[in-house]
Amino acid sequence: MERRCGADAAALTDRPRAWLATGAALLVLLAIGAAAIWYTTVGLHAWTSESLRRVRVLAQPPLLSPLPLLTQDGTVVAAWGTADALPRVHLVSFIYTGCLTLCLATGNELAQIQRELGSDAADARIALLSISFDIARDTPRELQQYARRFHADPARWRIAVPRDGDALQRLLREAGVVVIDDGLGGFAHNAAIAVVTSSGRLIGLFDYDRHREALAFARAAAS
Amino acid sequence: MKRLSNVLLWIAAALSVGVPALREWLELSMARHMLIEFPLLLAAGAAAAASITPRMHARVAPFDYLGLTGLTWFSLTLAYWMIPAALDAALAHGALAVTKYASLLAAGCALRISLAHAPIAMQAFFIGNCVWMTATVGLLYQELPQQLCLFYLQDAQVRAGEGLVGVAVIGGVVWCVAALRANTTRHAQATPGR
Repeated sequence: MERRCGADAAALTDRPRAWLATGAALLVLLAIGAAAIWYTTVGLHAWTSESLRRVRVLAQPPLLSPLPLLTQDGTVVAAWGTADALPRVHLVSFIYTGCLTLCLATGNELAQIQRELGSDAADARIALLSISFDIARDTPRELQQYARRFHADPARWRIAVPRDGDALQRLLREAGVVVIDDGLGGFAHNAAIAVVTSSGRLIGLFDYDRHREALAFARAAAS
Repeated sequence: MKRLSNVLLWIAAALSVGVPALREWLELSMARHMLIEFPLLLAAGAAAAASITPRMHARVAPFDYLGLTGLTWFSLTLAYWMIPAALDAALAHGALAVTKYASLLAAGCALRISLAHAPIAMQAFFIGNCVWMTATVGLLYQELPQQLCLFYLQDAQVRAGEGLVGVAVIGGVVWCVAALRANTTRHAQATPGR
């Protein structure tokens, strides 16, 4: 540790030059370090990937690709981004029907939103959509059971699953949703209520327990 | 010692580029990722520093007066990869994973070179800062109620946090012992000349 080589001793004999060179190197290093931290945390605003996702969605709303979804009643629909997609602002949650924790809480919040939605023109342009990422297990039968549990009105709240793995992965990637194995036969994922326009633009993300803010945001977007 | 360092170097190199299955296994757990892979890469970088020639050393030394540049690089690299968003990004994007491997190898290399340049007070400042920073991050990982990384569950985060506190304490103790031994050796060498 204390070993000093000849080069070091030589550097010590020329202190002003060494200070200058080291100072310049430090400046470059600190600039690189500060830039990396600044970029990664979006100006020290977000230290986790989830907070980063929310900041980025607000700054630059990503466009979600159109994708066919198989719904609880067995029909295939396109939620956004196509000519036949309904002109709706969607409040979207990502779920799997076997989930006993976050997805149930999110389901309760969407059920609350469904109850609060009125029949005026602005509310008529808002729809609810729960998208399952468990394409292996969630068939229309499971989706229907999930819909029944929360008294989902099919005219207003669709529970759906992408038709193939590629479409699902693309959607998850574009929406910034990460799904991992929870080690208990289920999944862990970043839960939020997403606000998506009829063109597929993801314009807002809200904590799953802040449904009133999500609804107010969707109403503003729909009006 | 040199031989062991070289073995570590090759293990780390194999991990980062040659054995994807082993790398995936390491990175599947937050604790293995931060407490095995990180130290292994740092150790491999330090082992690589042993093979730097005196001529290269002479070129680097003026830019690392009192070990300032290398120890700063080591501290910054360590701090950066403990940011949860950075750790997630290294798992999600291949380019950032490569950046992580390269920066940790370089940090290990810089640490070894700069410790040789730095007086004991400078070493104490940087190593002390790294110890409290790592321990503080470890405590935060344990205490915060939310899952910080998208790719790791909260119980994995708690285990990694416990490990980080342990690594910080061990690192601090190892440095203290090494510094004391170096000090004793220096005094022993200086005594006959007095």
